[in-house]
Amino acid sequence: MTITDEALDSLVAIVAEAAAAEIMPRFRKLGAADIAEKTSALDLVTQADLLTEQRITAALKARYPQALIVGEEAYEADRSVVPALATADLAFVIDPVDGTYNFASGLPLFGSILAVVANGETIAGIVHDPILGDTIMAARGAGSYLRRKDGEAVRLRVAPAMPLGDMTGIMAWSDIREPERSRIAGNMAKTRMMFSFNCSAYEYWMVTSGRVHFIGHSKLMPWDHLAGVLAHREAGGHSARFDGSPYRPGETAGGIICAPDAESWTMIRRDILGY
Amino acid sequence: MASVDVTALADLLRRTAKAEILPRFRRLGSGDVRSKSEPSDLVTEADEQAERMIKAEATERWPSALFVGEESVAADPSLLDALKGAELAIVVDPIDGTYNFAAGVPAFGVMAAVVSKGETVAGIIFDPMGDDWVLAEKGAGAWLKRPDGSAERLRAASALPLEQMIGMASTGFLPNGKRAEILANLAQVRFLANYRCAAHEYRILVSGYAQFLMYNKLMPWDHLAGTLISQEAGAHAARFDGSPYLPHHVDGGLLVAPDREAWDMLRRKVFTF
Repeated sequence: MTITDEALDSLVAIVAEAAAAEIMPRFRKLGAADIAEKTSALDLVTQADLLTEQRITAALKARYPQALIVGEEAYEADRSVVPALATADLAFVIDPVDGTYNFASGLPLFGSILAVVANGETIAGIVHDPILGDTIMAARGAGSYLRRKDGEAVRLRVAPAMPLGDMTGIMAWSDIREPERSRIAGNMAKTRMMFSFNCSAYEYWMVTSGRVHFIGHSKLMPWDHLAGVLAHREAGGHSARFDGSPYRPGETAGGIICAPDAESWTMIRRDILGY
Repeated sequence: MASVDVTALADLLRRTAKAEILPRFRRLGSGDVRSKSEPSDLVTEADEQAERMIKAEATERWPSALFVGEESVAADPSLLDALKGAELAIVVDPIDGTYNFAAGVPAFGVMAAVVSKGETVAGIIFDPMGDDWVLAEKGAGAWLKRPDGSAERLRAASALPLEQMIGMASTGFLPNGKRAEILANLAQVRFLANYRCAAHEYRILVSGYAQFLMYNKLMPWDHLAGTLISQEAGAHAARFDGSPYLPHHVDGGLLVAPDREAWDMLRRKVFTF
């Protein structure tokens, strides 16, 4: 199954409308009562997350009444929705505010993410910047594009492979335990420069646009990764779980590395992860 | 004594962002970006035009103040030495976070510090995306200020056990052997962020969302404003040897922590230079 340009445009419009209505009026205006910790000081939920997800969910349900809708916040109430992604005919995966810690702290690095999954494959991905209204969008087989709010669009390409010492990268180790944790953290010294954005939306934004060479994550919640992984692949990149197997909707473990190509992927696994 | 009106300087940063910076964001053709000293150290047309606008107005309004900007110093390095003896100086970073700016990532800021007789007396960090400032004048606390005139006092976070801390450390300029050691030590904390933008890293710290910051390379336009604002928000800041960070310092490192005790603990367990 593929998605039409028209359907993709209407999905971008749904996300952009919800972000403009529910996220931006709350940026830097949250009171203490609007923010709650889920599992830690890094794992937050705000009124903006809840209301944006409700708004996108309602719009999708009206248009696609049969589809499975998986939202980061709805998942807290019903965890069976994630494994159901592997087999659903049509599903949507929503991260209403990706980078909630950044959003709550006032940093303008957060995004709204939507992935479209059909029969166990991601067929479209949207990574939207609510501040400027620009969007990275990808459809399977049709490439990745950055489309500005005014309609101007540019095709995106990942960076070319380079020796590790010339690469910039991101490897999120905060969910990795010792002894791997400090080994991986220390191995990032082999790169030219490292980032840590605490925001999948902008990590995929950078790797899909060729502004960082690689990104890696150990925890694979689908709303953080499905859309971005498709966008990266459609921009020419190579991605796989740490064991080399493809990352598929419904899976939440096994880690993932996104790299310029298969050869550099193997190098990053060896020299950064250490296996 | 000559002085600089902080409200007027803050307004100048904001007007400059609207005129010279925002219209160029995500509009960069490849011809607008060239390398200054290395590929990651991008200088853009926006950077140069923004500094030009700030310098033109600042030197007209405060003619007795020495103007020190990142781009001006690139053209005339002796300006840095002049900062040490200046009666009054304005130190400006027209775009902090140029790599992000060039990459289309909206984490960048416009910063200015006012230095009087070798001491930072005011610091301003403007965020063009959120359209607000964090700023401080020495002795008067740290504040988030909005264009509508509203303001909120800012407080740095309290200390936490090391394994619960969130922090930011810029390790790119450490010597090669030390870089891996410090990065591995940092795995002891809950989360290491690195936004490659000091302006926003200081803002996060003084909003109470992170416990520490570490920088090794200390260009004054990157750190004077943020250090004063951090101190005015209650944090403890010092160079690695424990001495105060002053406007003419360009090395010796800088560590900002919730208090002296947490500073000592981070220095001992993480920043093992």
